[in-house]
Amino acid sequence: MEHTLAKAFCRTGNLKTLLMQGNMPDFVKEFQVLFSAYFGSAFSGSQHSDITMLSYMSHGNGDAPAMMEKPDQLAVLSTETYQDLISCLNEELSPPRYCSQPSPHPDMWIVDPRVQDKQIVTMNGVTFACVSKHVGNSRILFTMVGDNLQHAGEIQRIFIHQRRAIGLNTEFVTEIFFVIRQFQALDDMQAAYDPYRRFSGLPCRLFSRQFMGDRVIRAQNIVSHFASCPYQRPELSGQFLVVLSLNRVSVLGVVLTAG
Amino acid sequence: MDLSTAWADAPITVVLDHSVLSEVWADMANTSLPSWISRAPHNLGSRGHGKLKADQWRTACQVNLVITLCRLWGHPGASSREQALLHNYLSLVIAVHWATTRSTSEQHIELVEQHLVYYVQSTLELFGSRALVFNNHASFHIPECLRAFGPAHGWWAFPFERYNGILQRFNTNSRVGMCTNVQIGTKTTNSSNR
Repeated sequence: MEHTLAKAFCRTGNLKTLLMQGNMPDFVKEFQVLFSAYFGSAFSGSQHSDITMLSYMSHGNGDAPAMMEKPDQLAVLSTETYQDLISCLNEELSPPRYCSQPSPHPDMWIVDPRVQDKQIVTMNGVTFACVSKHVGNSRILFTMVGDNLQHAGEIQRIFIHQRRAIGLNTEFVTEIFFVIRQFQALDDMQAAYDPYRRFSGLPCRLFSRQFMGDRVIRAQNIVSHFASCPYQRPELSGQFLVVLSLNRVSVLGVVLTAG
Repeated sequence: MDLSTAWADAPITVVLDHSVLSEVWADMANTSLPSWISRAPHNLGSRGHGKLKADQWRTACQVNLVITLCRLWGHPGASSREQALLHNYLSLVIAVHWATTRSTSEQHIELVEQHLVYYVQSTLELFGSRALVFNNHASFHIPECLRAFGPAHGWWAFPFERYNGILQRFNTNSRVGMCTNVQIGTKTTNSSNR
């Protein structure tokens, strides 16, 4: 009896998440429409959003980005962003497979500089926006390949790009990229005055409000949004920002950026 | 000690006075949050905003108060009481943060355990035994539940709070049982017609 009670408790408690799984039988999917119509608004808020995100992360939402505009309507990347995109694409490839100019190597592909701009994208149930659209939705923590530090940045631009696939059966692959303006981490001198850093288990740090250069990142580099608030104290000269991670799938050992 | 009467003759201790709350409100107005997170009322701590939802409590305690209290009480010039209050509060925040993550491990659980113990000990030192409530005892069972059942979102009771909210919003017209059945029946019929 205890087992039945515990099972019913957990299933009921996770009903919404269960219904969002992509691998449910058809009759359950029909029930999901009815459920969302009547109880959708009752299941909103932070708890729901991050559980929904988890559900998508476990089972995938199946929505691949698509280029909607005609080729002549696409925007052309600036030279710097184009080079950043190529670096981003080559990041996990050894040797590099993407380039900007024709190469004597037969397995090098030229990257198309044309992209489709987006102001807002929703991925895994979470909305990301350019800073010009929504500041809160644009501020994200991200990691780079082979790095266990989380960096804070602001989304300047979101674009969809199509390229030739490597090692896949499909001919082209379409992917969302983000142009991020990174907040500068504190130096050691400034970090000594960071009151948040003293609490090692607290996912909160001060960052300088000065920006480092722009960089292009992929969707999988994004860790989470963060809450931010301007910070001022007499002992710390300059402009600073409190960055509080809103990551709910926290992994110990991955730290909010170094000083 | 009888915890149910411990507070009865206790003097009132004000921790978040008007000057602190003013700073909290100012920071709240300047805080950027993503659209998926519920915001706490702008006049947090006033009677005017009524009862807060669990989600609003979470944002207020895990985000807004952390940002402001650390700034006010975390600098080197803060008094020893302010620093002790900050350590006390943040130990609870850290315990709650790591107890409610969507993944867990023995390291997570140990962190939760350490901070819960520190929180209760420092609460005793700061406010005396009258400050202890039943939930402080119950919280010490969280680590064993995490070990037994995994991440908290799978077994916590928040969804049932929501179900209670849904049920409370039904207009029963004082005829409990009948009206709810009629309403659900009507809603289902309406949906079939759409």
